Amino acid sequence: MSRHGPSRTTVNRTLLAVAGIVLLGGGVLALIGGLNLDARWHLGLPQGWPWTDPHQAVLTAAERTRWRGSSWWWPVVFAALAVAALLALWWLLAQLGRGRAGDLPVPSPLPEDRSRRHRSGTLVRGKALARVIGEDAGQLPGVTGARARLLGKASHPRARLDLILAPGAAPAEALRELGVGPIARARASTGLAALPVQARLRAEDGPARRAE
Amino acid sequence: MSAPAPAAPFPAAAELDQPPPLRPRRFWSVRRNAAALTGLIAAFLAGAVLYEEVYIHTGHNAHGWRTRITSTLADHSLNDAWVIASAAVACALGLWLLVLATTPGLRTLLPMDPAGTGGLTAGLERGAVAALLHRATLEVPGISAAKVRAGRRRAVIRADVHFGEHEEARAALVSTLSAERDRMGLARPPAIKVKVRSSR
Repeated sequence: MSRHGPSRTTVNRTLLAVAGIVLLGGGVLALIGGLNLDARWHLGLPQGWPWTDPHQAVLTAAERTRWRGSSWWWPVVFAALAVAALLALWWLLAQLGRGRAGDLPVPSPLPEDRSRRHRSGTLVRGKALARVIGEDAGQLPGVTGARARLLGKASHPRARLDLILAPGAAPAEALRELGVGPIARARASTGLAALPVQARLRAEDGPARRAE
Repeated sequence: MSAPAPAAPFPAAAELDQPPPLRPRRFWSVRRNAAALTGLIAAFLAGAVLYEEVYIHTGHNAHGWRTRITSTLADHSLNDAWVIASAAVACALGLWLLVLATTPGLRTLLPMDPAGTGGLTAGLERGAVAALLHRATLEVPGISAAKVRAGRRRAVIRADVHFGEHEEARAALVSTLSAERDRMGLARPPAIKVKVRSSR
């Protein structure tokens, strides 16, 4: 992960935590003021605490326009709002990408090329490779359906497989067959020996019957 | 009532045959929907305020919605019921976002033991665990119906016995279902808990 920036999971969870802290902090501040918790529980809040008196207004016009005369106020307001809006927009758009790997460079089979980190110039279509892996996995005994996707960047692809198991098929065995069969073949044929693979197995829908 | 907890054959075996024991971890959700929704709301709010500030700054009069919001904020005191309710809602939402940020999610996906698969990461849906256990339950003689709840740590099977001794049926169920569970290849096999009752 560290080689190519923080993952989307890390970014999402960090920003969700920031949003959560902002909401929770604002809510707690307002509750401390509104329920007069400073006086009731003797919190001993420092001087200059924004909301202490339950009868004070949430935000008076005087407070809102307090800094308007200062030369720094408007630049700071515009900059902060613009940064917040752009960050939120970027975050939103980052969720829309489906994260497909696209076309993958296939490493050169010649050892001297590989040691010099040459690109072979050959690309394999990510969609085609995914379809082949999916079709191969769908042929496994005990598997009634399989779908593969290649996610991540073209330089660091990873495969996601969704398998549907036939009723009664043993998941452990299906997984072992998947590893030594379709996945091993895909890794060998593309030279992506370290291709990370995540498989998700579920059962075929349908009622279980009383065995006679 | 419950079968003996799975006799942890997996950690020992994994440590013996592989140099770095790959302990399969929980699957962590990307939290895509929560992120998209939070991003959308934040972008909308920041964009609207930014737009209005620029609008006023360029010599226009404030829009009606802005004057309504500012006068509402100025007219309501902190102990107003609406203000307190909103603050409580903000606290709850904030806590929920923190929970989303710190918990793995994907509770329906149970990690599988990667030993012998050539380095796969794999998970089995809880629904598949329940379906397999249900099927195995109905194969035990004397069982007419069953309800299965597959949890992360244990699976509870309620079986209806329509002939035979309850004790025998339960013993048969425990051994059959434990064997079935061990065919699943889960990293942390759930404990099997069997309850039997007459089917009449």
